Amino acid sequence: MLDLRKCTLVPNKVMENIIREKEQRRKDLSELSFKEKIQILVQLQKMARGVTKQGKRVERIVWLI
Amino acid sequence: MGKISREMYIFHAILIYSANLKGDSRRNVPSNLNRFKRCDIKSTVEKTLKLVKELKEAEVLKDFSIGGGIAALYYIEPILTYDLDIFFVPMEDRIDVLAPIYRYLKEKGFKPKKEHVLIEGVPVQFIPVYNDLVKEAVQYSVEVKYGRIKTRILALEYLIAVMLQTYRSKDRERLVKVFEEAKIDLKLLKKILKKFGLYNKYVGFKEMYFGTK
Repeated sequence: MLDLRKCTLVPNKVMENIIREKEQRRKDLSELSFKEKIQILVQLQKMARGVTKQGKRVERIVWLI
Repeated sequence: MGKISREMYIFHAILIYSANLKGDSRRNVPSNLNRFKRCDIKSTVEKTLKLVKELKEAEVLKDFSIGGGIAALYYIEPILTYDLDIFFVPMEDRIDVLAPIYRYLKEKGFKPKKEHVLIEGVPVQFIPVYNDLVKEAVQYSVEVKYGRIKTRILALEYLIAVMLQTYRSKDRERLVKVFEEAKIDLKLLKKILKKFGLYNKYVGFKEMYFGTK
């Protein structure tokens, strides 16, 4: 039986740092050039290709760049 | 000289292009290939945007602007989307507003498929302006550069207004990101929202998602 008293909880400060860094990363990404963002978009499209919706693959076009 | 194969054409075009870059004299290039001008090798997205711009230059449409997910992407971190949405003002009011565009693109070898046209590998969806907000948004769109191509994109504050108006779940997701990541002219935004009766919706949205007004 799991004894919750022995579990180490992540301190709030750690989570705060993680969240702050994630927010900063998003802001940094938002400042990339249009072209760089489109390149990332195509990578996202390629990654999403393998994702199925309720077991069915949805046909989506990956942009050619 | 006989017919030149496509591969040889591209090879020599690159040769001439790189020779021009180095500043070499064209005398070094075989004379029968001088007819190939400097080859501007554009990316496919540049070609797509160039062709969309051509529609305006050829007066197939009056004005256009990139909207939707790609417009949002311009202002925030890259987000997943598949279509290039082009809001456009037609040359004239008619029932089949898309017909002139499709006809022009068909002549260029690009046929419509369902709701979009695949132009140089990019699915483009042409959306005629459907109300005063979208019409004004296209009118006040901003010129941006993609590589060497200049194109037009909805100004951020108008994009926010359009997303507030349509308010689908993906619009709400994008709005959250816009308010977290983009630099918004709040004064201009308030002016636009009040003009088009969206200010209360904006206040409600901010309260729901940010706990603020």
